[in-house]
Amino acid sequence: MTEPAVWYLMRASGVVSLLLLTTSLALGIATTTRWRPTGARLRVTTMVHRNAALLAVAFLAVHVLTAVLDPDAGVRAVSALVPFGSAWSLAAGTLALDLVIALVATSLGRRRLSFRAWRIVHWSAYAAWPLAVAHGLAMGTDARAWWSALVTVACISVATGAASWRLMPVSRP
Amino acid sequence: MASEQRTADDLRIRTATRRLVIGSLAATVAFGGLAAAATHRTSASTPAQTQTPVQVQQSFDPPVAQSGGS
Repeated sequence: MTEPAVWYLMRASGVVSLLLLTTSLALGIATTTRWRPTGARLRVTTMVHRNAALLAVAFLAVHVLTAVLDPDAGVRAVSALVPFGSAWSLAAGTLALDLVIALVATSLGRRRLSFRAWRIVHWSAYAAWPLAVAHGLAMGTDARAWWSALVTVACISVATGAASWRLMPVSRP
Repeated sequence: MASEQRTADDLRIRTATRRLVIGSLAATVAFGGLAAAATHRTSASTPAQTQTPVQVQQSFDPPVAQSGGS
């Protein structure tokens, strides 16, 4: 059974997941730098960051589910969660997914964790994002399409820009 | 004053989240369409494979020597 619609949805949801992950990453970095929209409190940045992450998880779930359902994709259900025993391009995506799940789970249950434990897991976002990009570039059906390249370049620009901004020394009075 | 600030912040959060959801759904439709177009373009440009006619193997067996009678 060939379902092209499932295949197209898998590809599209993968790209959108990367966009949302990038958005969440940039907003998370903005939170640490205490950036917020003019006239708003930091809570706005924090909450939108959280909602973007949850939305990314939702689209990731669609991406993984369609990859498993699509017979042409050839992704086994176990490979979607266990990053061993499969090609590195798939394993990169699986590892990124596992890290994102750990990120969201520990953030939702933050009150039960020490700040240090939560923060260590949260820093894995800096590993999850490049793994997701590598997965898309290596495995994406549309990796060489102009629109996919545009999205990838935009995401890399936003993420590296935000990270550079984070690492810039803050001038204190 | 604090409650007004909180109300304004909640409105900003809801608006931003709503835009993220709508934008994500619209992007999914758009990228899905682009993916479909790319797939159709690829399948249309791939020439249909034609079967090469099976060439008849010619026999090059040497002629059988005929013994001539005298």
